[in-house]
Amino acid sequence: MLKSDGTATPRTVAMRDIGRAKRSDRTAFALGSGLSLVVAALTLWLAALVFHERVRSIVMSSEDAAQTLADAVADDIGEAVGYGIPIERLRGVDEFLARVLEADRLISAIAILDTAEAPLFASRAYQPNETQLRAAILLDDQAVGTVVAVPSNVVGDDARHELFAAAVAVALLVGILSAVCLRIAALERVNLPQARFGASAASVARGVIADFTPPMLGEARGWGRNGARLLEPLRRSYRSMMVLTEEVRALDTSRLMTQRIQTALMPLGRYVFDRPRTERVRAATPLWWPFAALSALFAARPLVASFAADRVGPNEVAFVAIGASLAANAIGLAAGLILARYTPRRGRNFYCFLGMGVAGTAIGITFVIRDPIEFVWAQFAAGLFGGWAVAISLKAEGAWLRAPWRGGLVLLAAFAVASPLGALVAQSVGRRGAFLAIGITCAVVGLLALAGPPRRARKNERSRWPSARLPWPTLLSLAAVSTAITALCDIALPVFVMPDNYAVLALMTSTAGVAAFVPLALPSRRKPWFAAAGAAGAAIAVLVALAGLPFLAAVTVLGTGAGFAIASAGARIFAPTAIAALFSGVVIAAGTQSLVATAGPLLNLDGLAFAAAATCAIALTALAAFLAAAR
Amino acid sequence: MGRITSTLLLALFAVAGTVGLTVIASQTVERSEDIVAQARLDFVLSRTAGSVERNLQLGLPLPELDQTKVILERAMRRAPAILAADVFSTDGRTIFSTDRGAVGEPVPPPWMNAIRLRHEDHWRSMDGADVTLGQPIRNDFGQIAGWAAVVVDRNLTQNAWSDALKLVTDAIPAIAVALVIAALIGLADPMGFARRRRGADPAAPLAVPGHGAYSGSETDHDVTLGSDPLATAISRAVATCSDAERDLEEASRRMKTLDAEV
Repeated sequence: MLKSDGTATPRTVAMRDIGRAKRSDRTAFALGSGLSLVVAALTLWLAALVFHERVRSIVMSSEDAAQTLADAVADDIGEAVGYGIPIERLRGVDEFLARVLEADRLISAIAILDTAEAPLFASRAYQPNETQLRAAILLDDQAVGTVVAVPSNVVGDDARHELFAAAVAVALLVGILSAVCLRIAALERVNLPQARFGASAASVARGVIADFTPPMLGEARGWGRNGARLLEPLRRSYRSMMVLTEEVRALDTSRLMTQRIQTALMPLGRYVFDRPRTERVRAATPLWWPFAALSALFAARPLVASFAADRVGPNEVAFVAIGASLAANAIGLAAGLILARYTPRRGRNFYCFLGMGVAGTAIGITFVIRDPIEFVWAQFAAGLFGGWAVAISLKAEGAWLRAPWRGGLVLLAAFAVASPLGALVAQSVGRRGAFLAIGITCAVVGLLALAGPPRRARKNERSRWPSARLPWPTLLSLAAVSTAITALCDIALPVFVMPDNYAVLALMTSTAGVAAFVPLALPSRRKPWFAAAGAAGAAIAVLVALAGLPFLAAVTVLGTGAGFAIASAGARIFAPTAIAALFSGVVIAAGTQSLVATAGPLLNLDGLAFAAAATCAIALTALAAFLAAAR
Repeated sequence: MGRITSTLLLALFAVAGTVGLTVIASQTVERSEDIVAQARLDFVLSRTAGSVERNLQLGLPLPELDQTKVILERAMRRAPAILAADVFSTDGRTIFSTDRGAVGEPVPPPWMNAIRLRHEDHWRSMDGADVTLGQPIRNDFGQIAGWAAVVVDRNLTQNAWSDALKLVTDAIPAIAVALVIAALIGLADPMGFARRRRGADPAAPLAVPGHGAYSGSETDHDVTLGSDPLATAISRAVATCSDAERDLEEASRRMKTLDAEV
């Protein structure tokens, strides 16, 4: 838990043992699962029993409306018969019935019978033995035929499905939130200076005579002071001996003593005497604020594509609007992260408040936006200022010291929580209302920044940006996963597969969120092949979706793949190269949608297929890079 | 965060989940009811407009189609939610209406605004407590000859939050069960927040009871400060330091010998 870099050497395993990080991971996972099961049982009970009567009333209303429709058709046919045309000789009735069926989904079949109950005209789906609603065709108060309509339960069935999907999604969301919040709380209970002292002790035990800075307070302070007194003479002796060694080398012009010098120094080969820590650890910024901020910012993601498409209408330009909106948000986030590097250290809390406030306004103002261009700019502003605020908080003093949880957990948890939360809010207050609610939430999170985190800067503070040294397989894997998530969860599901069905969308995204935590339950979360496996999973997910297999299976595979890739990057997920990889994935997926919209009809392609091809290509490249690196 | 705070947090999540589901479910049901009501109104409106169009095809201008009054009356009978049904000209003047006093009068301005912003011919206008749904009436050449509109009570077509509170009341047993179970889980303290606070948890690395600060001069390789992993690490660190000291002395001695030879 204390060291994020490198593979799982015995040293890092020992450090994890010290922190009991894995035990806390698993306890939080089990606790979240347990609470999720309890809430699922209760919410499903609510959906099945409390709302049962309401759903039955929808079915009855549907039948009433279908009866109205049958009456109206009977009136129309009666009017035509009133012109003197015998009912059996009416022309164009089949087309008329087809139009009626097409225009109204409250009936599944319709037919016109003569007085002997023989069908004269019928839609293709009509079966005589189905439940029927009847309306007499009258001519001078004399029945000349009957309109028979078969009511459809599609609205009631949809409501029932949405209720159950919402119940499961809420339960999963409660489980994720509980586990993440308790894990973050447990993490923040760790006394970082003391833990760092423990890491130093383990380092010295291995022969790396690193800084033995004692903690400022507590029982270990005396131990640390004694340890520092123990190490300093060693370093001094080493420096004196090295000075002597240089003198000997300088005098040995004939190089006859080189071998003997090396032999004399050989016993010291297992020690490193000159690796002091670069900074002292005083405290660390709390994790909850960047988690809350990113979750609020990302909550609008499942709503962006469908909102952009609806601003333009059902045509090719809609794809361009989708691509532009998503890409603008991603580019804005990246620009915000860059901007944070050049933001003065003083007044960070105010900058966080300002950033989240402006981002919240940009999201909330969507409530009144009707123009697609304005929406693109709003998305850019939300990304820019939101990303700026989050990056400032993550860059604060000690921010990277809780690695790998610092970056990895914040992004993973935000990914798991935000989309289902946004979808559930949209299910309850509608899409525009959800933008407003999310905007207000962002502003409230910004206000909370004034109360506490991130910490105020010190005069001599040295804030660090995470190491940018991410291997190519990991970077490519992040790009592949990002492409797949954007194509499937942000575009395909909300726009094409289940438009306006936010309850089922919440179920899909919360399932992906739960699956994303699976890698954390494994013995080691930073094996080198994790990232490549994540990319392969993302590619398989999009292919599964294309093959027509259940989307629930696709998002499960996708979530697991995303979890593998993010866990593999660990704390370096916010390193500039990783951010570039993540956002390039969004731009690739969004761009392919726009490109296919213009060239697709000629090439007989659809956007998801194109994004799948891109994901597969990136995943294969990541795999190849991994194999090359392994060799 | 201690045991009580974590218990409160879990209880909050569990209660928020069940209450949230109740609110979401009530809105879902009301939206479905709205879909049914809307479909019924749309159908009645489209049949009304269609009936007027068929009469228009006989060749008479729209204002002379007296049959339209009967069609509008029939529309009102088909859907009890309809408060009024109108047919008006493209310049916004009412030609036929179930409200006799409205004939010849200009239609409300929001209707004309909604017509300008219409999507696929259908339009919807909010005006006070009423909602108006409209559709064009087209002649044989596909040109718009006028508009058909039905006025309905807004409460019948808008999602209302009225039932949400009642449903939350119905869901109180589930909320109570969620609260109790979450509180029990929280009080059991599986994450060990209480131990962490006392410093007795192994995760609090340096809290090894019964051991004071070790002596800087101590060189015993077998020194043990307890079974805690960190204590073991410190013990090993001390051993490594003494090894390093010995190796440094040996290397220094050899180097001094070389220096003398040079």
